[in-house]
Amino acid sequence: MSSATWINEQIPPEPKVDWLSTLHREGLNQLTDFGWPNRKTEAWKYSPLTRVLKGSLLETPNTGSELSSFNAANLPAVDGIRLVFVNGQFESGLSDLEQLPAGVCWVRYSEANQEQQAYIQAQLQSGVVAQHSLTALHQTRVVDGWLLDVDEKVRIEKPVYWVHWAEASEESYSVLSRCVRLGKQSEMTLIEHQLSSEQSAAQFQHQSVHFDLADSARLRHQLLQLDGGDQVSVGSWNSRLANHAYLETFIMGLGGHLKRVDYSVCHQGEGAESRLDAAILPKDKQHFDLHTQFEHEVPHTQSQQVVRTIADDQAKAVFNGRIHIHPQAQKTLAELSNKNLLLSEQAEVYTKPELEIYADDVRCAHGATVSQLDHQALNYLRSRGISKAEAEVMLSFGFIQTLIQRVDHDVLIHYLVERLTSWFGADQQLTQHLGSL
Amino acid sequence: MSEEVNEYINREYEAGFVTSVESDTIPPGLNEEVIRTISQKKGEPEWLLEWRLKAYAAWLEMEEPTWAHVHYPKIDFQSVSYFSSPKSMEDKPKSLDEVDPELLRTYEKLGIPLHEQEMLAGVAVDAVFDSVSVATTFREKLSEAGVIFCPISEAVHEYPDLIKRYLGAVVPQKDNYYAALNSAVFSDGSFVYIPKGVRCPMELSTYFRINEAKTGQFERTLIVADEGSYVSYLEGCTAPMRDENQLHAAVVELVALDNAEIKYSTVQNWYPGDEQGRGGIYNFVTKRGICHKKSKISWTQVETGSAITWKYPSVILKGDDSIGEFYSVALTRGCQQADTGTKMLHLGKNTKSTIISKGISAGRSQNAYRGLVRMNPSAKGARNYTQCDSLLIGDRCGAHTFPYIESKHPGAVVEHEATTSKVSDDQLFLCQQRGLDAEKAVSMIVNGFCKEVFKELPMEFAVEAGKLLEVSLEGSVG
Repeated sequence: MSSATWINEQIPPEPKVDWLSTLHREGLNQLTDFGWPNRKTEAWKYSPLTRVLKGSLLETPNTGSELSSFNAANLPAVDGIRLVFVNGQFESGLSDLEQLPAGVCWVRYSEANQEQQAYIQAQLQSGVVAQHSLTALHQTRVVDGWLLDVDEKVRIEKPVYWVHWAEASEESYSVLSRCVRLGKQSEMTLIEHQLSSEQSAAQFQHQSVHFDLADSARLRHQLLQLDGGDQVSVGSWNSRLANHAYLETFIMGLGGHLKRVDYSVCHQGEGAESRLDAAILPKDKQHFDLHTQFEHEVPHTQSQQVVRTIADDQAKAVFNGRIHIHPQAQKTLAELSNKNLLLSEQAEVYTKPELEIYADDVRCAHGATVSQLDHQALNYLRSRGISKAEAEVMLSFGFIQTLIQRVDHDVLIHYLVERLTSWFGADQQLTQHLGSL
Repeated sequence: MSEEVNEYINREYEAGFVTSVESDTIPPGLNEEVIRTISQKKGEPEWLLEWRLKAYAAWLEMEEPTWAHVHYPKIDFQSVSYFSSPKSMEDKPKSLDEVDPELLRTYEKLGIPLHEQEMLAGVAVDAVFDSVSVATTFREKLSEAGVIFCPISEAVHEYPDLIKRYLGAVVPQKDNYYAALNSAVFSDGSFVYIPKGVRCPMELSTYFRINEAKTGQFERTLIVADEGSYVSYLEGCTAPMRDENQLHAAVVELVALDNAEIKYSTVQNWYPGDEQGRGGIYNFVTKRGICHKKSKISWTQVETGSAITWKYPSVILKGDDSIGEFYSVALTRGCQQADTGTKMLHLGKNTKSTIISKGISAGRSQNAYRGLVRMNPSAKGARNYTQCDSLLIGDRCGAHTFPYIESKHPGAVVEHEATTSKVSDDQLFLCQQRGLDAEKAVSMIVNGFCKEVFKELPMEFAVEAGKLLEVSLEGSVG
């Protein structure tokens, strides 16, 4: 079936609230305009979506809450407020709703009050920063979603811990939309943990998140995409920062057939500041595509991005980091560093750090490197009696270790190091020192 | 200071005069018949006409590219005249003495007195006026060394084997929209062949000028450096001031065989349009070179003109141990838009490339660097270093960077860095405190900013480029 016919045959699902139908119609129009991405589509140039359209991944919605192999005991013992999603559906039975403090509201779009619904509608309608075919497709398929509404001056002590569990008996897709509104001077840590059953059939997880930080709000966001197997995951994270708001993000990307993260931050208030650290580690035939878009719309804002990638086997790592300084955004400070390590002959890295600058009194810089491990460093370690294999593991781990330290949550660091240990090699001999590094 | 600023901003384009020479221009429009006419006027052999028609057929199928960071109204390709030649050229001059004196005066106004250059500078010049090559100096001396330097239209007749072999070998007819258009209607250009082991005894130079209204210029340059040879080639361009936009779609092909070296320098000063963005040249150029074993191609460009520049001089590093270099200064002011950069395609082992790009934007202009560095799976031990710096002068201009990096070999090393800054108040203050006025101080700082590129230019050109930059820039400083 040609992609054009496929697009024409899309019928949006029955929404839970009326205003979503407007959103669906707009999404369909956009999708028709964009067309299905091909090699010439800039946003999807290096990430072919042929498999996604050819299979039945986009045909059947996964509504089953298949929990056969979900075991909360396998999760890291994060002392947080756990909210569990299974195949895009919220599972209150597995969640700690009672732990949500006063001043925090967790509500379905369809059950939100009028003010909230109007707010959500506005967010979904105009909040997507980097628009492309897949964000349009997502928009046509949102049936409902969840809003986390945090009142002014509320500080959530424990991290909010979103767990996404994916398990499907047949090829299918799931759609999940969420909004997070942080009132003035509120503060929270949000951990998003994506994982999947090893026996699961391929699933297309399609999600979007909107963060809205009011004046002086602070958010620490940790996005752990650790689901493996045949999972295809496409999502867009959109943040708006008001005056003196602060956003700190850590992304870790492991596994999956194809993963795409669009992470956009709009600095809309003076003094807004953001920081992003990302460690992307595809191996085997995996494909990870990270697109960041940092918009500086007003004077005196800052952003810093550090993205490191290790590609092994036949994996492909794609990074596109865009910094856009609007005409009036004087005194902006924006930096981006992207370093890539190729561990195998067949691994590939595609990177494009972009600068688009319309104001003169700014300081912007980006840098990108691609190479293999430093031979001198390897030789140094070997001259100290460390085997080549172990030296390679140590150096590769060292390459991303400083980023992991940004997590600032011991249980989680420990858990991630464990995952990384198995990533670097099943041989315990090689990785025994990593935990203590 | 604002008075000074205004004065400089309103400075006119110095090469903007029109030369009144009777010319033979075919009516605007593009179809197979036009291509046949061009071919016939140049007395071309049958195979070249076929080649052109094939390109035209391909062009009809292609879509105009829209990915560049430039905006302009759609070009009406039927309103352009694809061939214009000064009438007096009908009987080709045998030597400089026979060239229409009016033409020679034009070149004098532009600062390239052919006679003088012949005597003093020791630079051999091929001057292209509208669509026809006017005069080539120093041919005899060059032929003693075995170097061929002549208009490409002549080379088609005299060296058909070389032309057949290399024309379109680096930039095929179907390469891109504008290259296809050029292949179909190219008028003239220069052909250079340096035989084995010869070091070209002097710098070669081409000067392009568009004179006639409503014409496009589509020249084609082909340089072949045989094994172990060396050549340094300079290219300069100007055009009269006109209200309408004129199209310039050139193709430059370089072939560096084993151990050869080609150094290609450009000072591009096409008419940029007026302050409101009216008129000016659309400069859509395809430049590409191919490096065989242990050879080297070096592009150096100083871009100050054109309303729109769309140009990516590239190197295909096919042979092992070959070297590609790109040094660029692109200055935009007024309403100019530039989307320029390079492509370094590493295929051979231990290939090396260096990219140094300096973008300066002033006024309401937009200046973008767009580059591609590709390390193919065979590029073991390849290296690339890229540095692109942008300087912004004024708060209404834009500076953009779009570097594509694709690496498919772990043994290849790619390094890219880019910075953006303005002329810092501290630097200005320091210079002014030492007794320099603001204009001089900025000029000095900008010159320092571009120094890495200027030092790559041949001496005469470096002086010209420095001056060009100075006059283009000074006014923009507030």
